[in-house]
Amino acid sequence: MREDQIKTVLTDLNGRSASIEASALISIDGLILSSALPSMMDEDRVSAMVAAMLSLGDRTTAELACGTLEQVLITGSHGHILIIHAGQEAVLCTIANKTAKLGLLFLDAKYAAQAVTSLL
Amino acid sequence: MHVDHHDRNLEIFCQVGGLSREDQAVLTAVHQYIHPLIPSLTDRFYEVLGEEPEIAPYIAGRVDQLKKTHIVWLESLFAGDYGIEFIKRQEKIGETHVRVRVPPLFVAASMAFLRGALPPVLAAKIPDPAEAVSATASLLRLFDLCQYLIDRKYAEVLMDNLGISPALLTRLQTVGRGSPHQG
Repeated sequence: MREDQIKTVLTDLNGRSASIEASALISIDGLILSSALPSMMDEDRVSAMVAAMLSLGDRTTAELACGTLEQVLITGSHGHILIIHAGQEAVLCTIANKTAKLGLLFLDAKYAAQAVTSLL
Repeated sequence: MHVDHHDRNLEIFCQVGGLSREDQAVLTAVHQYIHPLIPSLTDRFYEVLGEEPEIAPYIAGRVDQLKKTHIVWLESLFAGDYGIEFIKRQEKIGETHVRVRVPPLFVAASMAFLRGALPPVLAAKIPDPAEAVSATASLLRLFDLCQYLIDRKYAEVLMDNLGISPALLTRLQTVGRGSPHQG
């Protein structure tokens, strides 16, 4: 039931904007908890990388005295990957194409992270 | 073998690797044959290290001191006490390697040298062939333990630098391109 609710949050997130292509909820140890990723993506590898990226962001933010990490944004030639905490034990990863309006993407991902945090 | 019973990974290592109290007795018994040869073996070891251009800068100007440390370490392998203090000393060696920025490759290569160099010495100097075989097996297990403890220190530094947990490190090490999906 709870898994279904989390899946619904991710599906809703993907539907909020045409620019959002995929999303996943991942444990801080790099395990997929729930995902709405394209089938050609290797969930196991993606989840490990995303968790590592957030951890590295946490550590870098602290090391550079920038406070508490709020998000990690990776931008490639074809799109964006937004990684944010979803509570203490999970990470929300959202993938958007290049047309995404970043402010809206940040907001949508933040609301989705809050929603899944309440379900974990 | 007497290890910190809170260290589950070390328990697994000793259990699977067959490292036991018997190894301590075996190596202590052959110490008398090996002791006179340790300085020359150490000299050869540092000759080999010095011949490698990428390693040489790490030992330049302090070879004599390093040789002394190395002799103490080799002697300790035959001292018959592989308890918590021994474990701590290996971890300290790992910390020192990290502090002076010695890459893990050099540790692995050095251990490979010793694994290759010492068994023939044991075979040649221990009168009883069966005892030599037994001592070789024990020593190789002990080298593996030392390398595991040093490598583990490298892993701890990596985890600390990246801010990742042991579970995530293991996952990153084992989820490769084309790996079977894991839960």
